[in-house]
Amino acid sequence: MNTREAIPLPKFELSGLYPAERGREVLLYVDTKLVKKLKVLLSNDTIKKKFRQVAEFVLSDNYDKDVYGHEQHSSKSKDVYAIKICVVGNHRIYCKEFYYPKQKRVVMIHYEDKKVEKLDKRLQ
Amino acid sequence: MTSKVKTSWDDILKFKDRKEQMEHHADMLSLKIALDIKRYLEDNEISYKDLAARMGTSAAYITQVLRGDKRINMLFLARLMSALGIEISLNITADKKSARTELDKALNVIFTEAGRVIYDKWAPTHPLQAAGGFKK
Repeated sequence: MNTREAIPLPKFELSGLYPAERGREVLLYVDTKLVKKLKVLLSNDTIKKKFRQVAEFVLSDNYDKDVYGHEQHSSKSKDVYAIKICVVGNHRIYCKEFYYPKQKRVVMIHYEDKKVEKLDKRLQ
Repeated sequence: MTSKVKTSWDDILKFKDRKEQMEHHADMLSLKIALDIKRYLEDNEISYKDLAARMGTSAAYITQVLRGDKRINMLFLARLMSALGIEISLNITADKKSARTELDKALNVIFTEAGRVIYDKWAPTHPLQAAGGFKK
C-alpha cells in the first residue's frame, strides 16, 4: 500500500472574522514530501501573507472558487481542493480533505505554479 | 536559500509584530466584504465585466479585489454602491469573547481547559480546593 505521511501545521493567531460555522474542527496538515517546496514558496513575504489569509479561510470550513475550491473535476480527484494564491505568480496548493464525525483534516499534498507547469495527469 | 528552508512553521505563521497582525486582520475583513459582494453579484447574475463597466474600471481590478488580492477601500465601496444602486451597512458590536476575557481578567478568574471555573479570588480557602479541586 502506498502510504504518505503528513505533519500538522502549528496553530497560528487568527483574526476571528471567520468562525467555523459547520460545527466541526478543521486541522491543516502538510505532506512531508511537500514541506521543503512549500517553505521555499512561503519564504516570499507577499505569498506568505496571502497564504495566511487563505489558511484562515480554510480553517473556517468555507469554500470559494477563487480562494479555496475545486479546480479539476474528475472522478479520480475526489475531495481534492486547491488553495489559490494569485500573487507573485499563479500558485496552487492542492489539498486532500479527510472527513471525520466532528473534524475535517485538510492535507496539503501538491504544489504547482500554474504559470510554468501544467497539472500532472496523475492528479487529474 | 537553504537557511530559508530550515525556517520552522512557527516562524512562517507567527506575526512579526502587531502591525503585521493588524494587516492580516485588515486583509481578512476585506476578504469577508469581498465574498459578501460576490454572493450579491451571483444572486443577481451580475458578471465582473458588467460590474467593471458600471463602475468605470477594469474587470481585472474587480477580480483582484473580490479574490482578496487587493484590499477594499472606501472609494471602491462608494463606486460599488453608486453602480449597483445598493446600500452597504456596517454593524458595530462588542467582541463578546474579548469582553468576557477582560471581565474574567478583572475578576481574577482562572479557567480550566474545558472552560470551567476552578478557582476565584473570593473563595481561596474553600474546603474543596484543599481536597484537590474547586469546581463551580
